[in-house]
Amino acid sequence: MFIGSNIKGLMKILIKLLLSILVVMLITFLGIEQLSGDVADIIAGTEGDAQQIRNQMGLNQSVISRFFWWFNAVAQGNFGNSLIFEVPVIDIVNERIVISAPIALFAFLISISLGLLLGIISVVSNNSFWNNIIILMISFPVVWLSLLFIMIFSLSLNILPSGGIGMWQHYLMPCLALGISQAGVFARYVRVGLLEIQNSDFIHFYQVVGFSKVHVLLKYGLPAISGSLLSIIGLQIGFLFTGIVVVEHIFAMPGIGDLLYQAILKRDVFLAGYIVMKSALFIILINSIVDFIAYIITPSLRKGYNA
Amino acid sequence: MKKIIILLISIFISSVALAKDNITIGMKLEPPHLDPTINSASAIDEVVYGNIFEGLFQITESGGVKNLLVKDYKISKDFKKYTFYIKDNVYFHNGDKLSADDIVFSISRIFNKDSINPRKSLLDNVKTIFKVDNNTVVVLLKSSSDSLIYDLARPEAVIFNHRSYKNNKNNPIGTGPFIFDSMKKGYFVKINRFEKYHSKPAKLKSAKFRFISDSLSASSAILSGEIDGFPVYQDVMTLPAFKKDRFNVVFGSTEGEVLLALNNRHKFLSNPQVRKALNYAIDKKSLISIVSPSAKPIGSHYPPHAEGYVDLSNKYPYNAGLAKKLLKQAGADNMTLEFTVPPSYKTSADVIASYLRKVGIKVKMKNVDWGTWLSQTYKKYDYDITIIAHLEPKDYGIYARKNYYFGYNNSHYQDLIKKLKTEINKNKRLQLLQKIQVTLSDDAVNVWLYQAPKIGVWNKKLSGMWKNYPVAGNILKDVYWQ
Repeated sequence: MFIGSNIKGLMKILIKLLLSILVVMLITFLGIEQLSGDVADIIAGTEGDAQQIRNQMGLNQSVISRFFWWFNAVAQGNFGNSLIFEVPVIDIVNERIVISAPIALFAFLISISLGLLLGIISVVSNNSFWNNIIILMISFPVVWLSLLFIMIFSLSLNILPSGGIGMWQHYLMPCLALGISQAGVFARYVRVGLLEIQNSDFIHFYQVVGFSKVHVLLKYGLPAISGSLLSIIGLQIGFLFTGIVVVEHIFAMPGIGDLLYQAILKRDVFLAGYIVMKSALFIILINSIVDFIAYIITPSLRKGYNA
Repeated sequence: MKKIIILLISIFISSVALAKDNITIGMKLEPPHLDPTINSASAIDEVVYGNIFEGLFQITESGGVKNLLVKDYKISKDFKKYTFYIKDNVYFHNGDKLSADDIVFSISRIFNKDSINPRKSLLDNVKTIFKVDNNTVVVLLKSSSDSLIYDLARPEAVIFNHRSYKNNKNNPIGTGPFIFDSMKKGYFVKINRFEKYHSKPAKLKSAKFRFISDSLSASSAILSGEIDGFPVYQDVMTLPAFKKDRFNVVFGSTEGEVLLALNNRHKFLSNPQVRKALNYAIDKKSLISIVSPSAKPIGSHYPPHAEGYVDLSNKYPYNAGLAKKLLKQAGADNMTLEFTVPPSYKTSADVIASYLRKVGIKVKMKNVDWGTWLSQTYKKYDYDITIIAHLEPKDYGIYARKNYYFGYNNSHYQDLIKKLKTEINKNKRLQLLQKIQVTLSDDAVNVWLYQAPKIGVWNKKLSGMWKNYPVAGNILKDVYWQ
């Protein structure tokens, strides 16, 4: 019975996933198509023959027929060539994911661990100082934090490179800047969750029995709010993507965010479409996993699926 | 202990003795690939021109033209037949010898019917090109023209190996002083010295172009020494950070006229009175002091450093009162203009808009990206006013085009351009060039603002960097560390 309901839940998630990807593909394609100018205009510049380029690239058909052509190709696993870089989109995207993935991973780890730590400290210490720190961190825009880091560590102290890729030192500032700016938000959720739960009966019970407040909050309080924290983490990953575009730009790192920006500016539908699709897939996947874990660890949710 | 000291000293000495022989150059935009003959992106030219690829001729730092792959050439009296004698000892990076076939192939590829060369239209006038012998090529023109040599010196007319040309996007093979080494898209392109170069080899052993789109990141990369120079630096605000003891900040010239283009097809702007009013309404000098303090004001479509320049920058001196009066006379004192602003002109546009509002014009700002500017403003003439730099050298011919986004149509001017194309006498040419400038200014076709300067920032110990920007290019052949 339990396994059966799990499969049912999994199916629902899968169908949701496929539909989301189809919608994402359509929106990306039409979104870029409705911008004025196409990739041929950009390649031709002011003096070139854009029509000739369109002919050679097969861009002179209607939007609808091109979308279906693309959709058909993608469904068969052929993502095509980037119109502007003239190499397979998979190659160029993979090249860039290698750069973005470590930023995402470490920034994520920093934001979660720092957020948890701060959230717990602020509740346990019962001190408004820590709450103020959290609020301050939420208000740090990642741009500002990045520039501050560059000023201190690259220009004044000259101990870290101000941008680029290649060495682990290149990743320190972007990961920290992104991680810290996201940690505040997560800390806030941890704090609010713990504050709510510390007044519930079972926490009082454990405290009356003689356990210390810290012990009770960590051992029983955190697991109790873990379901809601997990869904917050899922959402945070979406925000992480926006943050990555910013840090990659400031630290001159040729990652996926920078590539997407270029692809849209240059009207490279295939490239932009592939990146958006892949990112969407990733975010949906993470959220689905998070949903699924939450579903397994939270009995009340499981009932919801059965109904 | 003694050994360690000796070791340390020897390390110190060897590090002093080995002068730096590589360089990292910063650029704002990344090239999409490295073939300049099929894409208009100037970032491609800035990497490959004169480094990896070479043409029959090369544009020089002062804007002239010199022989590069030709040792000599002959032009017939009627300027219709050009004979090129090709150098004997030129090799491509893959070891192939340069032949007349490569030249015929590369140049016909520009003007062929199915060509997608961004400068295809410049060679419209070519009737045919053929090989006479292995070192001689002849070009025949449809009508007399003296611009062929210059056009063949452009980055879009570089000579390819007819066997390897298809791979030039990602593995370029040319005849230049540097061989392509590697490329990480969006990050860098690395080139190494070509030892079998046909002239004196480059001084640097290798060079790297790094692409940094954010101007603050660019300035910190220069300050921290991660890059050695940024030849086309755009952020005027951060210039004071580059102290004189470490950096050279060099102001040079470009062929770029920055102008407020007026749609001469517009209901009110078709009236020269209204266009003159706009010329009077904008205080160019204070605009320049805000956006580009080293720039020179201009009054027509002609660079101040070029031969035959007439200073017309003060023909319509700033006079808001007169502007208002002219607008009122023309019945345009209440008009609304949509101001199309492409990227990187936001500040200039704000300043200009405030001057236009001062004389009663309602201005609606519309920010667009480059793709939109090209397709809407440039190709569909869908705009009232816009600001842009025309970077093409010797591009006064655009005002003679009937289908151009300015919408200027003056048969007298079109005659002047036609005459200039076939005029061989130097004095008469200069006279024509002066008439061209004066006519444009008389008609107030646009509001010419200033000649865009080229600001270069590089390490003080670096020599041989180009001060000017006569063509999109960072030619590193003669660059070295002092």
